Amino acid sequence: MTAFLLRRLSQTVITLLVMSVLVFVGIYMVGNPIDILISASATPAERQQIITAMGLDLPVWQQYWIFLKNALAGDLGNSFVYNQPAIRLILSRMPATLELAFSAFVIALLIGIPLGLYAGLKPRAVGSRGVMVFSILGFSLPTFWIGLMMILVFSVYLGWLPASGRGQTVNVLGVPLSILTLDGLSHLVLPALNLALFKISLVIRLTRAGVIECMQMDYVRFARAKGVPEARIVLLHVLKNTLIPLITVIGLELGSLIAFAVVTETIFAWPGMGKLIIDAIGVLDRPLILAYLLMTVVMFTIINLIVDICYSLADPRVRLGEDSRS
Amino acid sequence: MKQAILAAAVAALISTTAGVEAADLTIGLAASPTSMDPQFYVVGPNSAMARNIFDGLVNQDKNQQIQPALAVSWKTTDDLTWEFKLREGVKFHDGSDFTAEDVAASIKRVELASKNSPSSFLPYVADIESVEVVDPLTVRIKTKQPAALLLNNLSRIAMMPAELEDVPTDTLNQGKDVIGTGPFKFVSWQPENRVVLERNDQYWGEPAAWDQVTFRVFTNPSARVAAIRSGDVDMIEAVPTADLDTLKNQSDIDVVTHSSNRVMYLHLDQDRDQSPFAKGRDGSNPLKKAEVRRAISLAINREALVDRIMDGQGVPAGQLVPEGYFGYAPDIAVDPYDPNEAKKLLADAGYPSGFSLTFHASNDRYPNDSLVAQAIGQLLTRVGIKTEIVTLPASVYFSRASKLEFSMIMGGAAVETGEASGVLGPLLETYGPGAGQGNRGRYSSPEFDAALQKARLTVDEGARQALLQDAMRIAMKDLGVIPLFFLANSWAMKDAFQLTPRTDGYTLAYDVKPAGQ
Repeated sequence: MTAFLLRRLSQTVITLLVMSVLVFVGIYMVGNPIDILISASATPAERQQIITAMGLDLPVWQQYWIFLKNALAGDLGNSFVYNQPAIRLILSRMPATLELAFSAFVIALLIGIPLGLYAGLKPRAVGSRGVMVFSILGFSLPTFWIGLMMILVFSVYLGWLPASGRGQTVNVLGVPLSILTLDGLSHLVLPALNLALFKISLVIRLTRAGVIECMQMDYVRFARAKGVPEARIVLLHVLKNTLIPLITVIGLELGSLIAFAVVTETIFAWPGMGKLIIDAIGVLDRPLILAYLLMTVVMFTIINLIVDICYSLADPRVRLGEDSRS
Repeated sequence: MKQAILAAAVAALISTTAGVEAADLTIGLAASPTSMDPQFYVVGPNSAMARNIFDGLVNQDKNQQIQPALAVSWKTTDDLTWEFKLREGVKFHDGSDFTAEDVAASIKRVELASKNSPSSFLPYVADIESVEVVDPLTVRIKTKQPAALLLNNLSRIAMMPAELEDVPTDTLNQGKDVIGTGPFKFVSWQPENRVVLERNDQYWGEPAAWDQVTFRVFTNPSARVAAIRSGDVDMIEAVPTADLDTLKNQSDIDVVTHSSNRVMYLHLDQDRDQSPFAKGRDGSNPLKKAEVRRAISLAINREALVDRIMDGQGVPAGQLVPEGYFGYAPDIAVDPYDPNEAKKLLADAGYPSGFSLTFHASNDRYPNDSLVAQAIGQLLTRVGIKTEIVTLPASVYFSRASKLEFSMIMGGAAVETGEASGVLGPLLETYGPGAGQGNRGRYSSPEFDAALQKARLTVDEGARQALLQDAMRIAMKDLGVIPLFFLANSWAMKDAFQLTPRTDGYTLAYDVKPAGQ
């Protein structure tokens, strides 16, 4: 286990390094932030002073070296336009994004698994066909369009739910959460559902396929022959075996939920990290972009780690220390 | 910050339980301020937000003309000395008195606040040699040279209590010490999300109509429109042109459209013999010839651009400032749409069969910018200039344009100072140290430069206006840039509200009143 964690850690460090180089060079090539930020009436002396203050006059490798040294000391730099530490800006927005992503994740599992199970056990029922049609729609309709439609229907015409923003928050261990208040929940429902829609469809399909496959396995037939109750067969044997591939995919999908949250956040004016990063890219706010992407890498790594551990719990054949798996 | 959020939450709770008595206003903004320090970063959203909380010695009114604010009167004793009489009895939000000491400290603080600023306020105080406190209500400002724009520049400098002279931007960004004299007091701020303000009952002018104002940020246009249609906000700024009709047809929503101070224009490479994207048969740069530039101007149907592409949200432009602005020359006509004359001019200039041109424009910086660019491309192709359109995101476009990688580009310039030199200088003055930094066409005319420079040093209003008009005439005759149209700004609000719109497009809570008042 320790060897496994150590290897993971070193992989993460390498990923972070490669990522930071790519982003740094990428943004450097896109354009000069000064041309976007500075007002046209500034004199060359002022312009030069700002360029020097931001360290943009140095060759790119030197800029990168400075960034790296500061980053190792825990300082990812100040955002150009906010003049605040980039990491502070991102951390202050992170709870909102994580809350949204996890809510969507839970919704996807709570709706997806039962529906998938049903569709897998009774593939020919009319209801199952309905479920499959729904999942095709969930796959194929673009998130932003569904989001706008949801706002139109539930906020504009019916007036049931607020169209945008995050509701009242309460602090839990210093983290502001909105899911614990009624106002917060009413704000969370639409964006979380919007974000979850694609994942619900995915979970339905994966579960259904897994269930259909497992139901034809010998151990299910044996269990039936032995007289094991159907409910026990489905819940213990079939579902558990279905979960193994599901965990792998779903774990990775949690990462993409956090990444895809950008679109949903923009439509619902949800004050998460996504909105911050979109604007940062628009004005080439390099420290903010870098800090965000590096945080994302760290987050993905942690999620993958958790997935692997869950995987080993669900499937005793898997041992984390073994080389063959990585 | 946490306390601020908590305070906002509590305030929100109180305001909802207080019922109908409380007059609250929620405004949906299109862009977030990036700082609560009014002296940190010269950029629209920051300046607009600052105007709710802070005042200058003088303020710009809704047409960007200078009005007395914290100074009630001023006089020039000689070309270099200005004396300001301050308003009596003005209180800061923390209860302290506003005096001459605060003026001196506020102007001095600009230097500190410029640290790490991507675009600082230093240019606005560059002319100032010294600030003397004569008595608590009199300030004497000496300038390094005759500074005709001193009042315009001072209108951009927020007045803060003298104790804040050494307080850095970061402190204000954390919601501490955001203290001004304006109609609203600061309550809380979350970047990219919301700003909450409350009424300043000690305001020196008429008190604002609202107990509490919440600004919320919706960068996505559809989200902004949805917010007003669902009633989440009372009012939004920057209504997307595509949604104007929907909102106008909704009975409980009013739309206000008002011309703005931002002119859209074309910059043409008129300096180099060979240009990367404009080539005649012999490979030379056709844009160097004034006839060709005039032909391009005549080939553009400005009325159609405004009507069809901008849905009427604009006014055709024949010069760089709108009517009513200081320096506007009434005798300059808007070029008519005249494709035949354009073809004739092209033939006279030696391009009877036109030439090939690639036209570059941004696609996410100005309203409908890529659509406008495509329409212009088609209009030019119609008179024989084979035009290709390339549109790029602003983050890429402006850097490359500054490096002169293009031949013809489209830009937009706002008349931030409220008078003509604010656009003439950056866009048209001969490029060099200290001048013409936004002159991406490298227009250069000694007569123009002389008139503009003289205007800057002329304190007398009448003489200065005449000089600015001269400069404008010269540049428009040469077509140093080709003006296209002035953008319009639109706001949508519930019919219980009314707004006095501003040409600078700032959405100020003070300008919003309950309908019928």
